[in-house]
Order: sequence, then C-alpha cells, then structure tokens
Amino acid sequence: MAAHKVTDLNDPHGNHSAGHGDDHHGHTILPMWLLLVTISALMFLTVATVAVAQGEVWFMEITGYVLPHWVNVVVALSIATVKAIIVLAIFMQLYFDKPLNTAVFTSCILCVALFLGFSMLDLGTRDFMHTRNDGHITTGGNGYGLELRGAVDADGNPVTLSGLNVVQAARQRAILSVYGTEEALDKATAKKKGKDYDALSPPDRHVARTGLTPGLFDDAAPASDTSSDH
Amino acid sequence: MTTLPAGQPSAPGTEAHEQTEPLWKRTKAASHFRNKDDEFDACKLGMWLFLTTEVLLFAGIFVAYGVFRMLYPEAWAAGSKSLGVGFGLANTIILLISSFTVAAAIRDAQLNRQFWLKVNLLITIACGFAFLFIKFFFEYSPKWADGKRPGAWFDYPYTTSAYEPLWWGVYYVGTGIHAAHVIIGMGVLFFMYLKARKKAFGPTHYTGVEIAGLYWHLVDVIWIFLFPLLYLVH
Repeated sequence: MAAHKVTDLNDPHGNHSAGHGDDHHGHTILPMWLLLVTISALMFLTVATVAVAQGEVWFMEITGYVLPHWVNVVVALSIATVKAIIVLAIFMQLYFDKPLNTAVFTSCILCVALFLGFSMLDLGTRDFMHTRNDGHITTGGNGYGLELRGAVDADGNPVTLSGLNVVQAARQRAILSVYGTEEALDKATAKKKGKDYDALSPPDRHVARTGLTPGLFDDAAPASDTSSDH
Repeated sequence: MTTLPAGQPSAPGTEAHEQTEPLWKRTKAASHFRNKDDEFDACKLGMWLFLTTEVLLFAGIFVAYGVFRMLYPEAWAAGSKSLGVGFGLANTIILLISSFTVAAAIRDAQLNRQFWLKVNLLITIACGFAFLFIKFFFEYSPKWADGKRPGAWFDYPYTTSAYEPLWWGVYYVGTGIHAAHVIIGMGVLFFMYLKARKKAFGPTHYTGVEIAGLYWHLVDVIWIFLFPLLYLVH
C-alpha cells in the first residue's frame, strides 16, 4: 500500500524528493523465498494435472469403468484456475497491490464468465429443453403449433388451437377471455392504435428483401429445407 | 536524455553528475504527475486495463473451443489425442520458469542488482525462444506436414471425425495468437534489457520492467488454461 503523500507545493512533481531512494516506500519487494515457493507450487500443480489426466486414462483402462467426461474437465480446469490465481496474486502482485487493479481484473473475469456461461448453458441444455418443450415448439420461430395456454372452453377443458402462430394465439386468447368476437377486438385495437391501424399481418409475412449479396434472398429454398425431417 | 534538476548530492546538469548518478536516479515523474508513485500506480492501472482486453480477446477463443467441443465432442477427442502431452508439458514448465525469472528481474531492479536484472531478463527471453522452438519445430510443422490443418487446408486422411478441421482451426488460432503474444513479449522484454544496460531501472524507477512483467505473466496465465484444454482434456 502506497502511503498517502501530501503534495509539496514547492515541488509538485516530486523532482527534489526523488533520487534519494527513501521516497519509494509502499512498493512491495517480494522476498526470494516467496518467489521460490510460488514457482515450486506451480511446478507441482503442473505435474499433478498431467498425472491426474494420465491417471484417469489408466484407471479407465485397468477397471474398464468409463469416467464421465466432466470429471476430466472439472479436475483439469480447477487446477488451472488455482495456478492462474497463484500467478495473478503473487507474481503479478495483485495480493500486495492497490485493490483497484484487482477490481478491474475481476470485473473482466466476471464478463468472461457471463460470455462463457450463457454460451455453455444454451448448448448444454438444448436436448433437455427440446424434450421438455416437445409439442410446444416448432422450427421456424413464429410459434406455429403453440397451445392456447390459459384458455378454457365452455366445459372447462383447455383449448388447443394448433395451427396458430403466437400473434394469432394472443388474439384468440383475448377474444375468448375479454372481447367475445373478432370484430370487438378489431374495434378495440383500432381505438388503441389510432387511425393508422393496419390490418393484422402474420409475423412470417413475406416482405421483399434486398441486399448487397446477389441471390441471397432468392425464393428458392435451401436444399435442406425440403429434405429436413423436422 | 533530458537533464532535469536532481537536487543533492551532485550538481545537476554537469558532466560529473551524468557520470556519477545512474539513469534510474535521474529519471523524474512526467510533468503531469504529482510524483513518481502516482505515475507508477497510473501506469500499472493502465496496464491492467489493457490486460483485461487481452483476456477478452482470448475469451472469444475459449468460447469457440467450448461451443465446438459441445457440438462435436468426437472431433475434439480425436484432435486432442494427436497432440503430444510431453511438448505441452515442456512448454508449460518453460513458461512458468520464465514467469519466475521475470518476477526475479523486477526484484533485482528494486534491489538495484543491475547484473542479475539483465541476466534474468535474458533468461526470460531465452525461455521465449525455447517455447517458440518447441511450438514451431515439434508441434506446428509435423502436424501441418501430416495434413492436420485448419479448415479448407485440412488434408489428413485418417481422421474419424468429419469436424476435425474445426478443432485444428481452434488449435492453430488459439496457440497462434498466444505465440504472437510470446513474440511481442520477448520484444518488449528485449527493449527493457536494452534500457537496463543503460541502468534505466533501479529502486526508485522500475515501471518499465514491472509493466513488461505483467504482460509476460498474462501470457503465462493464458497458457495455463490453453494447456489443459488442448492437451489434457479428452
């Protein structure tokens, strides 16, 4: 920790106090034993992580038991994280430094964690989400095939209106629960939107698109579109 | 070198002063800093901010690694198995030793041990050469000759995964950008060595070695993660 220094008004740049070797207090000089202990620990962990990775392979060959993949990943990356923290704290002196530097670096690591975490969360749960939402979702992103959740018919049974997209389903829900008829909803919509209200268009309505790349938006569907088994 | 008033004990600006006082004692804080401590702290904070951008650069590569690994695990297993753990381990140890020597170099500057400062900087640069030598001659060139190349250059007939070119893309880009950082770090450290020869660093002025050391350590930290991800995790 650098001690607080009162500015000498006669020497604001410290020109006359520097050069005597006594004004440099507050800078950490790491003792040699600490550097040696640090490098020894890093070497040990490096050898350990290789040994554990080889040991896992050996264990699986001897016992025939197949370790799950995450064991390998978690062990190797945990050791790597410990090594990185040792380098950052001691070699890079974050432990002895002003806390601001640690705050800057930690906030960066948090951003990396978000970036990595959400990417992995997305990919890692797709099979689970697909099973869970099977029947509720379809390819294409316009929501065709959604159930009309929350709506019940006269007998109290849930209304399933497959073939609607999300926008049409939202309209249908409002008609069933509030407006009764489509005309009443349209009237209410026109009142809400003002005189510029346009007739409802489906969310997947084809709008002529243009771009710099020739042929990019040609009507011909990609080959996979017709051969796909979705 | 601009001669600034240095106060006691020698007369500033004179030839005798130039000869008696080493460069690090004569180095003053820049005029927009209150004193050398403020300058040192500002330089260090600026370097840490720069290091965060470096981390974010490599974060993109790590995310690409993770995404493609989850999509094509068999390609990752096949690619990872064709790397030699021995070379990766050797390079890890080389980089750790170089981190130690650069930390020792900073300590030497703080203790005004000019000879060992220069020796430790040179050992660090030599470690960089050793790392690159192993990388290029034992890893890159045999693999490239085998046809284990990224993307459209892929020409390895014995692969068992259709997506192995993706693995090599991540491998070459990840380790290549890291190797570029090693080369840049060696250049910076050599610049520091040239300055150290002029006695530019000492107990009251070692900002340059400290900042260069931070860069070098970060290169080591990145490798600490690249090594298990590429060589150990199957």
